[in-house]
Amino acid sequence: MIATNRVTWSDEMYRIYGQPRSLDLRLETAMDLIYEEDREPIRGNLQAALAAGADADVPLVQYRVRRPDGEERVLEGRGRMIFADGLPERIVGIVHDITEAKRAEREHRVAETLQRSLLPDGLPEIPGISLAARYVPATADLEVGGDWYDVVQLPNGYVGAAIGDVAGHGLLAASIMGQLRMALRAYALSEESPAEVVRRTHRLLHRVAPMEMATLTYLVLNPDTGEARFSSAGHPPPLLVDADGARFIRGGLAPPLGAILQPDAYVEATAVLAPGSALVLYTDGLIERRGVSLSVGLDLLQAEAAGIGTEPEALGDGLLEAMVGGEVDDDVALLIVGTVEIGAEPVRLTFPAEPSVLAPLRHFLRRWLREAGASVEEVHDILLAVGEACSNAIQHAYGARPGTLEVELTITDGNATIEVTDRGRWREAIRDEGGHGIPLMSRLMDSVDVDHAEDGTVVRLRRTLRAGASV
Amino acid sequence: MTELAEVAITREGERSVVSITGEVDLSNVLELAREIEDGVESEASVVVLDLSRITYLDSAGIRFLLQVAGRLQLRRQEVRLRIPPSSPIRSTVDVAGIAGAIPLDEE
Repeated sequence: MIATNRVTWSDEMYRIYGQPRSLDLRLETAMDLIYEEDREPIRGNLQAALAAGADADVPLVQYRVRRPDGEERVLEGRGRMIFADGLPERIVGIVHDITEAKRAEREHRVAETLQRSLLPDGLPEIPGISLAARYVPATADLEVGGDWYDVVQLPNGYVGAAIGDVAGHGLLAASIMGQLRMALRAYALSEESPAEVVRRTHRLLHRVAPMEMATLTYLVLNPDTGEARFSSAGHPPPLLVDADGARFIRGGLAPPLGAILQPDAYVEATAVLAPGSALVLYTDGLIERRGVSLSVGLDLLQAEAAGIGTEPEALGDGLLEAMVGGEVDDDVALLIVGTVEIGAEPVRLTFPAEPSVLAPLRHFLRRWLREAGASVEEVHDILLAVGEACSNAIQHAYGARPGTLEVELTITDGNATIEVTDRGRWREAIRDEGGHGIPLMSRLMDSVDVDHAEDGTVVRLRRTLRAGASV
Repeated sequence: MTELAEVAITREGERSVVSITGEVDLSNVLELAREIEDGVESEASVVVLDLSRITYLDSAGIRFLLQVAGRLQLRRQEVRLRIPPSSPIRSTVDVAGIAGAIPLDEE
């Protein structure tokens, strides 16, 4: 009542404010319980309603109160000013305690930021391999999950690819995801067997968070043969997309990480990626819909992928569009590993000028030259000559700065031409350290031409294949 | 292991035999050199670098061999190369004329 300055609270209001029923409740007392900096908007709203001269809404406002025990609550209130005989008589209002919702919202934001910071910044550029990844967090009030993916370049030129999903949501899931991802990277560098990498990741999870579970697929791709060995811990099956369509690769499956303690449970299976095919790894958010069976989601995924083709970026965009609507119930992570097609068209590869690309480049060249019918000796010679040209550029073109290399491969009428291009300025015109590189290339190839220009250097290598092979 | 190349060092009497398996290029030469120089015992009077199981060796690898041999010689160790005529890297070694700098192990 405005005239008497009395405020009447429901029982719930006393609970929210943490005040005893004996509290002498007047408008000033009620205002005093509110954080000082939050009072002004409320006063303003009341003034505006008073000025209306007739019944008027007091708009929704968020404010904080401190309880006698020091605890802060976040409230949301709105009301209506009631007039009688042209004079303000009373204000009626409703207050909601939104402290928990606010806390959840904040945690969601932190978890999502953490999640994003724990995913790779970008994917490595690997000669002969094309990669695409997507991550879509769950929307609205649902909390962020522990989905993740990663690609590790192994020292022997193989490629390790992982996708996983930590059970549960929120900060805990996101932080476990971060630990698993880092542990897996380390294991991948020292263990050749995917099953062993998965087993060690399982043991780690069991040690750091014994009550938690996670699913994981880890695969190792040999770019030379296209053979992918993989091991799965309770994760949905990889989808192979190639010229024949799309099909799931079954096998290599064991229970989720953290679920069991049988060390020999993790097994391996193999898939072969022909040139120009793609392997789609995904988390269950892509195929699960409320009230729809999992097999329906899997069937849909298979059908959609077959219609999109094998280009990884197109698969990433197309599958998200087809499978994930506006509302995302659960996080979705996608990782697509593609092999570059070997055909009549020239192949152009672009990658960073780093020594670590040499081994994967050889893997790709070996495969490409074999497809073209080159003999074992020819493969070896061309690999070595191209390796020399790339090593030279890596060492001399960019100094200490990062840069890129391009390798273009053509075979016409049994003549193989390989151009190695850099965009750097050589510190000195072909300072061939030790003096072995150029003589070696010349001996291995029919011709070696080096064009130095202001904006870079092109090394053109040619060799006629004895068998007169062509692609 | 997923390393591009691996080093195994065994002792045969006075000789230390360093066997390298795998591919040698710009990405792993520094690490291999350190592994060999740390691993070879200084008591061995002869060090045999066994290249039989190397499947790829480029000019960075040639430089690596010459540098490792040079440092072992500074430690007063005699260095020899073991490399079968059928080895895929034989032509690289021949082009570089390494045999002039490091004697071949004829056993």
